Amino acid sequence: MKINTLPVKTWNRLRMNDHDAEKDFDFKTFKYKEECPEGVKTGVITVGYDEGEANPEHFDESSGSRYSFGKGLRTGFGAEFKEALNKSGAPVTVYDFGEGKEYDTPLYQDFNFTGEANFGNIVEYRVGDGSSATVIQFVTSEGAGNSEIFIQSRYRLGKGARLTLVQIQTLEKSCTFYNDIGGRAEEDGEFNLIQIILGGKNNAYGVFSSLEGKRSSFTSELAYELGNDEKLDINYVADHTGAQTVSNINVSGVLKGSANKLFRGTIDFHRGCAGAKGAELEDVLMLDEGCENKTIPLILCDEEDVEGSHGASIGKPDEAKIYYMKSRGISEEEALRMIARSKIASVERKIKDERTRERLAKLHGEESL
Amino acid sequence: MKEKTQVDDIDRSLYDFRYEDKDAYKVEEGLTEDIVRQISDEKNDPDWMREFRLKALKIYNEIPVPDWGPSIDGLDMEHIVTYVRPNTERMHTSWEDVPEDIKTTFDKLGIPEAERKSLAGVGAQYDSELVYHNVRKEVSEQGVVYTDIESALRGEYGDMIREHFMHLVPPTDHKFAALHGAVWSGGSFVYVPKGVHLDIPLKSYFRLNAKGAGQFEHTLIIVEDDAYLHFIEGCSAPKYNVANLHAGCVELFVGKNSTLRYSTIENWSKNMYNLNTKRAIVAEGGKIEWVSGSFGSHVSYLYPMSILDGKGARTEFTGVTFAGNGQNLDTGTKVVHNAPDTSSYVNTRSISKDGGISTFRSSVVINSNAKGSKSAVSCESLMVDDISRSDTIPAMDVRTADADVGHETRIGRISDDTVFYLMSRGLSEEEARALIVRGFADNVSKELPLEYAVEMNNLITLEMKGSIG
Repeated sequence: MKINTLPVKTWNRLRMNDHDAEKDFDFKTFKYKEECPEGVKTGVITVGYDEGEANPEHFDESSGSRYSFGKGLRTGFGAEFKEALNKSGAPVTVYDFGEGKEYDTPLYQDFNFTGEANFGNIVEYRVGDGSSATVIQFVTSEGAGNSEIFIQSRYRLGKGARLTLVQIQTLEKSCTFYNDIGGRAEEDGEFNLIQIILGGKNNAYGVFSSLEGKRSSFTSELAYELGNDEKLDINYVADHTGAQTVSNINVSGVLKGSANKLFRGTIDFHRGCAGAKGAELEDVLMLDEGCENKTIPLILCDEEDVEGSHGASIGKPDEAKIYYMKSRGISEEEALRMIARSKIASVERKIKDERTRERLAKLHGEESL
Repeated sequence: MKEKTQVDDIDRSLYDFRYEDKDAYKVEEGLTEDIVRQISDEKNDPDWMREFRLKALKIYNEIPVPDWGPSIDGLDMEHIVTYVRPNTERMHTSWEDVPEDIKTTFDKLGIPEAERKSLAGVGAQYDSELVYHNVRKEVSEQGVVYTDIESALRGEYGDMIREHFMHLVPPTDHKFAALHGAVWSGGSFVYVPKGVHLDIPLKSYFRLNAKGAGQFEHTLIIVEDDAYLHFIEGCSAPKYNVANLHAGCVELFVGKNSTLRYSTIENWSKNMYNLNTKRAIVAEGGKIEWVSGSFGSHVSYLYPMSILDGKGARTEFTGVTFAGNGQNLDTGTKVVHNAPDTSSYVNTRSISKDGGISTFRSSVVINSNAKGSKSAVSCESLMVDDISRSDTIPAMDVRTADADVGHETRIGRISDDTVFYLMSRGLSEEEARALIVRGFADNVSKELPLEYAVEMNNLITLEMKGSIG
């Protein structure tokens, strides 16, 4: 099955147009731990409802059916994946944050996979008009062996709603992880995504952010560290249809050993999104011979009154920086470690939740940033 | 409310004239083994070339059309005439001997004048055949060979051509490379010996006059070590209401510490499918400089490729693409770093107006053996109105940690503030916008010899005429 499909194809011989995922949908729903802030309604619906009008029969009454995906949900993994997933009849856990609410504490979700199996979870966050919510997903494993793990996170943001989704992934280096995200924002809706990738052997990450409402925005910060023969395949799409919409995609990471990473990033300006702005920035540090980096940043522009930009810097560490650090008594090995660590740390600092920062610091054996 | 622009179609009267081809010899429409044999007979090909053509045809029939890029559904090979010989029996070395209608065509396009003024040699192809080829005496005395490729194939350079022909662009490369291999006709052969520095450029000009025809010229340039050559290519055609096809092939071999500058101003008519392939391989310390202006064609797939095969080899690609009404121009470049300390610099501008679609597409591959290599890619796009489209699709594949790769893309519109400022200095809005676009494209014009830069600026001015409504 093809996932992470590039919105516009290029030369097939580059092998960047899509990712071959040997994914089936025979997975077990995993019972994760969560801490849900007071006032959030939850319920379970069935995947596939979003094709056309929402079907109230599939809704838990407590979750309500206030919002619909309307034109249908799009996620980073693409249409072929969606079609197969919809046939699976898998459950979707819905979190409805309601309207006009500002939550002091995040929704914590702890996916600590244990035992070897194929796991899959679909979660949906609905943040109503004027509400603001944070969701923190920790994805870890213990004794999960060669498990294939799939998480799909969907979101729907009402007018002036804000969702910050933090995903920290520290799976064992034997796991395969499929992480798919998609959703839409109405007028002034704001989707902030922070992703930190420290584990997993084969990782596929997809994001499709539909900026339909006027002045809606999508900001993404992704950091990764890959070593040995680990693989990471990414497909980000910022889909601008609303006027004055804004997207910012920042990706930075470190490749070691024979790690292999492919980043597809698309800013798609549709006709009518006048005044929209989109920017992508990528910074890749390659530390060892044998690692491979592929990057394909697309800007598709069907509207005159927009500003789009992309910048990328790929390669070895700055020699002047290492020289300076050595002159201060730091060994080259330690200097490289510090430079690599700074790539991840700069994104970790964007996480405002103290508890999560402490957990991350503990993971790195450091004091909280 | 923002003021909207309305753009008239280009005034192409300079290029858009035609002559009846009633005296010309043509093969039938379509592509069959018989037609390929007929072309081969017409060319008096050596046996190996005849076999090569037939193998390429087989490959053509096996390869699917690309599933990426602009649609080429309007191109029906069943209705393309792959070989048209103009009404002249042979190639001429004296301009006076060229048939009157062909001579008038090239006179109008300024070819002999350019030759007198600033060129070391000129080749002129009309439909499928070269009709004129000449090189200055002092140039040939240095050992430089500039001739039509077919004479060279049958003459003393036969072995050299056999060794290099479609070596860089094999017919298996893509469907239209295979098509080229099967029906190629005409084109130039240039050989610059070791240590020869040619100060003034050589030029080939391609004119496709026949309706519903294809042009498949092959350009082969070999620059030996420590040499320099500037080669200029120009092309145009009158507009017809049926599809024409250009599937030429350019193969460039750049020796050690040599530099080859290859400049193109492409101004095919807007019924043309321009599916051209250009490729250079550069040896140690050598350099290929591409300067490319794409203004014409209905659909273009054009990505000159540089293979940096020797230590310290370099490439520079400077391009501008101007897509107007009814045009879908997919242009860019490909670079393969295949040796240590190689470097690439890509600097392009795309302009879209009046419903035109421009796509910048590139790939930079740095292989694991290309340690110490550097690459910088910069592409900027300008949207002149709200009915056009501009896409950028740059790909980078880096397989060594010891590399330094940078990339930047910007896309935007003409700044209202800048137009306002220029108008406050006495320019009309149309003049202000044309000036901004010319300035935007000056990365290419400043790389061209003066007279070609003027031609390019005139083309931009023509394109921008009537752009204010």
